[in-house]
Amino acid sequence: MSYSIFNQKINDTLKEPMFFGDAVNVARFDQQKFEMFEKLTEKQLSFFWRPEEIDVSKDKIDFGKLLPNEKHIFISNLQYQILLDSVQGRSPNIAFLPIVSLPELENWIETWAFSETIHSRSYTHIIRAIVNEPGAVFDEIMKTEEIIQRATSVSKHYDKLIKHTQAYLLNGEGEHQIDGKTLNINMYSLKRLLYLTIMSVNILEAIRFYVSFACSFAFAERKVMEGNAKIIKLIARDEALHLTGTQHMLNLMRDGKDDPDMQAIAIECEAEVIQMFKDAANQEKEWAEYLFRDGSMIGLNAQILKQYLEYITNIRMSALNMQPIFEQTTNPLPWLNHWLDSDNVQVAPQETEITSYLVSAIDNTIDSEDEDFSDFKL
Amino acid sequence: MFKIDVDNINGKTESLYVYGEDSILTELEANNVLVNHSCRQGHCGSCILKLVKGDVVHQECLVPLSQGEILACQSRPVSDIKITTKI
Repeated sequence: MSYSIFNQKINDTLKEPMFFGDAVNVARFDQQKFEMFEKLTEKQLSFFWRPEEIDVSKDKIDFGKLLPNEKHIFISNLQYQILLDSVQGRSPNIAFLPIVSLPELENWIETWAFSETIHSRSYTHIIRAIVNEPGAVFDEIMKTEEIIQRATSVSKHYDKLIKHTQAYLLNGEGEHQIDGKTLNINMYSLKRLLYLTIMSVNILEAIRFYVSFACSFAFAERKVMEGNAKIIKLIARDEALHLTGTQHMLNLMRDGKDDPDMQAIAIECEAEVIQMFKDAANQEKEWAEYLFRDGSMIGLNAQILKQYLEYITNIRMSALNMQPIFEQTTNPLPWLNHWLDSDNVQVAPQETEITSYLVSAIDNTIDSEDEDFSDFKL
Repeated sequence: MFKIDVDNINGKTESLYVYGEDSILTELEANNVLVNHSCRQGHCGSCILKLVKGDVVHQECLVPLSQGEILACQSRPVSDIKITTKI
């Protein structure tokens, strides 16, 4: 088989699986197999924002007053987020678009990746504002061993899936010689790679990002670096949407609502997935040690951040109907919720639809037995 | 103030008294009632609860809800309410 950017086979997208069915031809949104992805796209579009809308000029003064260990925490944290969003800004498109089979899911993937590029742009906006030589901060990323280690763990599943799907799209199933190595390409193993990649992305967006969010908001709780926190709050709002996207894909697969192979793979990979969550939590704990190596900051230290990591890992696993792996506790950073609740992202009324409503407050069915209007006369 | 009657959520049955300014999820967390949640933004549907009695203000959400279901992260009480886990 060979990949075509416009598959000319007439197909019914309502009967296609999410991935590895017929490639999408007409981008049509009049019908959806999984309406959730259409809703996610609409929501993401309604969230559109630009970093320049946020004033970060006061952050430069604040940054100058931070202690050296706090500067290390702030900059390292931003550098890590730059890495994560650099990966996420391109990889959903490269890895998932060539194999997606539903137009609404294709559109969601593109919208999702685009919003990640806004996040990347916002880091440049912040760094330009707070340091005199922004280039040095960016150059340092590729030279920091702790960050490069994370890069490997977040990109390895993507890389493997991309390599195998490219071989499949060029040569089809079978044994192929690539770079002097034999790759055995079969559909089941491709689907397995896809499942693990989506899981790895879910872990990236649901756990790894939240370590950084906690640090950014800890500064703002002290009324410093508030411009940065406003931007991170918008990023957190987007990321919550993205993690819902991957959670939804994984739950559809596991519940057998998509491709029967995927349901079998989900069961088969359960132990591996639990290990992925454990590994990610441990890697992020190591990162917490690195962040706080020169000392902690008011309101946050390595120990509390590690407790939060265990708490958030349990929450994310429950969302995928998996048993939590750490002891179940209440949130060790309860103040974080104030920053993560969407309610608290302020929007001007003219910029948004007011959609608050009273549940069960309106009853459209009135019959003679309704006593509320029995005294009412015209 | 409003009363939230928690009816067997994660093993807890108790009454909370709240101002109705924060989401039900936030109030439950503040009172150490563990409840499933994930996005806190009305997208994922992890925090669906059953509203047995009373009224809430509910913000928009992406999750299809059946009658009597609410998302704890997107609703605030506007009267005394009773909530329980989704059956």
